[in-house]
Amino acid sequence: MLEVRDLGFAYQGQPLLFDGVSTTVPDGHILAVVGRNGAGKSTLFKLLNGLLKPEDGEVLVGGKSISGRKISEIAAHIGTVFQSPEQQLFAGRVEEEVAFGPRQFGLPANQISERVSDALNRTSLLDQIARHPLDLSAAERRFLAIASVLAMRLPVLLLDEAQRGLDRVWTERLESILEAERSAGKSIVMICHDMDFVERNADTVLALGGRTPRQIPVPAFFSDTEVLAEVSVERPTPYRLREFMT
Amino acid sequence: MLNSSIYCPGESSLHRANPLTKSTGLFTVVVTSFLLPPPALWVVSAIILLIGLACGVGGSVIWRYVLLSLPFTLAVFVFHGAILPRSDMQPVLGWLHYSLTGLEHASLVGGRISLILASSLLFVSTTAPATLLRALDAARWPPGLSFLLASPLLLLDQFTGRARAISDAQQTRGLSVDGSPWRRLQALRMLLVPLLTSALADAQERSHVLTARGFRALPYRTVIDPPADTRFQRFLRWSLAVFMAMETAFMVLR
Repeated sequence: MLEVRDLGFAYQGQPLLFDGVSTTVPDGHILAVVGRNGAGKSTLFKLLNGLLKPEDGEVLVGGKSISGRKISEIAAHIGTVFQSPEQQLFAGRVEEEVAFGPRQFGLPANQISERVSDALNRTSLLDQIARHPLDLSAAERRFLAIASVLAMRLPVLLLDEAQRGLDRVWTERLESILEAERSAGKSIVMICHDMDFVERNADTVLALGGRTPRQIPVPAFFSDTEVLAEVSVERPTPYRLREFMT
Repeated sequence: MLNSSIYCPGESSLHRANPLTKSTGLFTVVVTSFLLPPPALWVVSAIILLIGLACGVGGSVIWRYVLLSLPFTLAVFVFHGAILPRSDMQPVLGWLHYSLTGLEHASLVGGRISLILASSLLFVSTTAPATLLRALDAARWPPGLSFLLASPLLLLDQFTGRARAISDAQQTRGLSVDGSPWRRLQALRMLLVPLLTSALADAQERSHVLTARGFRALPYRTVIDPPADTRFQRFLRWSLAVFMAMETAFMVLR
C-alpha cells in the first residue's frame, strides 16, 4: 500500500505547488492522477520516487516511511515508467535494458533471466530480445520501459502517460497488464490525460490543479461537474453519451 | 552544480551588443593572448571576470571559471614547475625540486588558457544561442556554416536534459550514483554511453528535419527580426579585425 501524508512542495522561488496533499493507494488499487498541464502531476511522481524531496509530509510504502531515503533505495519499493520513456532507454540491447533493474538488486543470473523473459513475454517483446532499443517502434519502446519496471516486481508502480499515442491493440495490451498487476495486489498510480482510459481502468482519481486536491472514486469524480471544470478535464464518452440520452 | 544552460538572460550592454561584435571581441582576446606576458594575462582574466560581475553574470562565470581552470592550472604548474626536468631545478624539500623557468612557463600557459576560458565564458553567458544564429543569418553566412557554429550551444540544453532523464531512469531502477570513486566512475560510464548513442541517433533525425524544411535550399536565410546592430559596432568589428591581422602579422614576422 502507498500512502502520501500531508505532502508539501514548492520549486525554488515559486509559490507552493502542493500544500497538505494526502492520498492512499491500497494493494490492488489503481489511482489516476489528473489535471491540467502544469498542475504538478509529474512533480508528484518525482516526489514519490525520490527524485525531488518534499518540504513537508511523507511517503509510506507498506506502512514504512521512505521519505529521506536515497533514490536507489526507494527503487526497491517503487517502479516508475516516465513520460516519454523512449527518451530514457539506455542499454545496448532490449534484454540488457530489462535486466538492468533486477541486476541492481543483486539477483542471481538465472532469476534475472527468468524475470527478463517473463516481463518481455507479458509486453509482447520477447521476439525483440536481441534488438537495440532505439531500433524499436515508438509503442515497443514504451512497452520496453514498462517491461523494465515489471521485471523489478515492485509493490508500487508509477506510470506517467503510459497510454499516450498507443493504438487499440497496444492500449488493450496495456490494460491487460494493468489488470494483471492490480490482481497481483500492486498499488498503481497513473498520470493520464485520456479520461476514457481513466474511466475504464482506475478505481479512484486524484484531481490536481483545483482548490483542494482530493481522492475521489471514479464514478463520483466524473459526475461532479464542478470538480471537472476546476481541474480542466472532460467527461469520458460513456458519461457524455448518458448525459446526451437523458 | 552547473545549470542546464550557460546563457544567463540580462539587460546589460554586453547582453544587448550584437553577437558578431562580441564574437569578434572574443577572437581578438584569443589572438592577443599569444602576445601578452604572464602577469598581463592574469590581470586581463581578472578584468574580464569583473566585467562579468558588472553585467550580472559574474556568479555563473566565476563559478564555471574556477571549476574548469583550477584543475588545469594546478596540473600545469605541477608538471612544468616540479616534474618536467629543466637545467635550473632547485631542491625544496627532500625529493621535491622546482624550476623557476618552469614556473614562468606554467604561468604563461596557464594565464593564456585562463584568459581564453574567461572570455569564452563571458561570451556564452551573455549571448543566447538563437540570437547568435540570427546574427549569423542576418550577416548572410551560409546556413550550414552558421548552424554548425551555433548548434553546440543550441544542443547543450537538450543534451543536459537527456543526461538528466537517463540518470533519473537509472537511479529509479536502483542504480546508486553515490559511494566510492570507482562506483561513481561506473555510473558516469553508464550515463555517457547511452548519451552518445542517442546523440548519434538524434543527429540523423535532425538532419532529416532540416532537409525537409529546405534548410540549405537557398545560399542564405532571411531573418525577420535580426539582432540590433549599429554603425559604431560595425566600425568596432572592422577595427578589431584589422587589429587581429596586425597582431598575427607581428607574431609571424618577429
